[in-house]
Amino acid sequence: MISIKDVSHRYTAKGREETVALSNVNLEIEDNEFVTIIGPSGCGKTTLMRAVGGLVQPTEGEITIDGQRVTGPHQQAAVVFQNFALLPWASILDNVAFGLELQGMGKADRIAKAEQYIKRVGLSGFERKYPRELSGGMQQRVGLARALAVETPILLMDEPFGALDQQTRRYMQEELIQIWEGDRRTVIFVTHDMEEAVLLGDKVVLMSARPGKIEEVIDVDIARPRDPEAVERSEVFAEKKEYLWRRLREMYQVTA
Amino acid sequence: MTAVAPTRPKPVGVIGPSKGVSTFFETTSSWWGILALLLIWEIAGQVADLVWLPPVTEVIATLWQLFVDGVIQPHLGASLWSLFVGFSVSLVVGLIVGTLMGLSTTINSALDIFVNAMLFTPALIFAPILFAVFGLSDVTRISVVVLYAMFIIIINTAEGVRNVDDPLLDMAASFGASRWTAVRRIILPSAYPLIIAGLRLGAGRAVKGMINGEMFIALIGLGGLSASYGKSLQFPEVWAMALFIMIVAIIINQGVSIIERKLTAWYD
Ligand SMILES: Nc1ncnc2c1ncn2[C@@H]1O[C@H](COP(=O)(O)OP(=O)(O)O)[C@@H](O)[C@H]1O
Ligand SMILES: [Mg+2]
Repeated sequence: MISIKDVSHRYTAKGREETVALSNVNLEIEDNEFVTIIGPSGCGKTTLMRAVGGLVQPTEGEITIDGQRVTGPHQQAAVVFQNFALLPWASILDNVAFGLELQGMGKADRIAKAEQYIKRVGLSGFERKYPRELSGGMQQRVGLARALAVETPILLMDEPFGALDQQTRRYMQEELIQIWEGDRRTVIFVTHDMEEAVLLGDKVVLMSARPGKIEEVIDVDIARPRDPEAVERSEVFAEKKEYLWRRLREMYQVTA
Repeated sequence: MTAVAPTRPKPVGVIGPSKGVSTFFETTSSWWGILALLLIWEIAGQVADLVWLPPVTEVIATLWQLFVDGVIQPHLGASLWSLFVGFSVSLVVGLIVGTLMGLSTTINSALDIFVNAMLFTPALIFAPILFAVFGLSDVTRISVVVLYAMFIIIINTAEGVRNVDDPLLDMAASFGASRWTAVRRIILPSAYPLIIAGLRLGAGRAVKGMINGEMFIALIGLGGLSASYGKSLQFPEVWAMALFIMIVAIIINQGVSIIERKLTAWYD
């Protein structure tokens, strides 16, 4: 279980005003839960996610994972980045194996494991290709495979499909649901797309930029396994989406 | 909104990797150009009958004779040796200092001005001092090579290291990479194209440094031999040496280009 207690974070950059990115955030995330975080840009979604990964040390409060306090990057979580963050000089196979390599896994083992996850994200046959030879959607599958391959209990995804065109994004969402339902992890998934938030999440965490607060946690009571098309036709989906949109519009009016 | 780092202007010394180096010998038109030039030289030399302009046939014959008599070979050996040692030193020191400058703003601000000044200073002005310190030993000539070659390698390496893509560092950190692992697995590979470009430029400057240093000492090496012929106004020999040094420089440049292409073929 991830538990975020009274977490606040202020960025202090030289010669600039301090920015309050998070203020008094409290959140509990159960094991194997899929949590989506949505909110206006600049409201601290990335900061919160990075804090869980140990990439940012919050100025106040604490985050614990199964009772262990997070003080730096740790082996409990793997990150999927919006800009993919693939090594341009390394093959797909080496990219997927990169996290395993940093963990010190031997070559034969990590290649076997990387191949397994390349297959899982549907990229078999592309092992020897380089990132630039792949489309954006495929590159993000590589990013996903790399994060899955280290087999951490937690996956942190920061607008992973934000850089993709709409059809590709839609397709990747379906794939992610399938992959995740076959291999459950705890997922924190940051998005700015309301449909995505509802379609994927067991819970939607709504954040606001006044500043960096959690406004509400919305349960999405749609059964698993989810069939994306059926979900989108369902009443619950329409209702949750509608509700999210109303809340976000209110926030926009407050800040605009 | 994401934080954006201020864009940094490229330092003057940095030059990117050469894309698709079209080599000197690949084009037949450059062969025709050379042939035409040699023909004009020959005719001018024959017709004008000037002491300082012997016909090309005489120059080539002189060069041949210098080889047959075994005059050139030991000097060629001495030159290539100081080039090799000087370039190796430049390579090792340049990569290390460049990497440190790229990684640490403190080291960078301490050395930046000095390194840039040295890049544009003709290093030959230090030759008298080097000569005073090291005398006739190889160290003097090797030092001149180093002074010519090292700074461009430092500057390109530092710039390559500095230009690393931050998201990649972030990614490595998220997988638990230490600082040293990040340098090895992220920073140096992404600096690679600029580093290789620096080495190519450094090699060209090393050849210049080799000849200039030798001409200053005027005793040893191809430049030394050439300088001594110059002093005694032996123009066919001077021309022969000039021709030979140009050929050596072209061969080295070709070699470096081929190595560069091999080293960067796998990198986009
Ligand atoms: N490294 C940083 N230094 C200074 N301010 C930052 C930094 N990263 C984010 N911020 C600021 O903190 C706030 C929250 O940012 P972020 O967590 O990236 O929001 P989001 O992901 O929701 O768009 C923003 O105002 C942003 O400008
Ligand atoms: Mg963000």
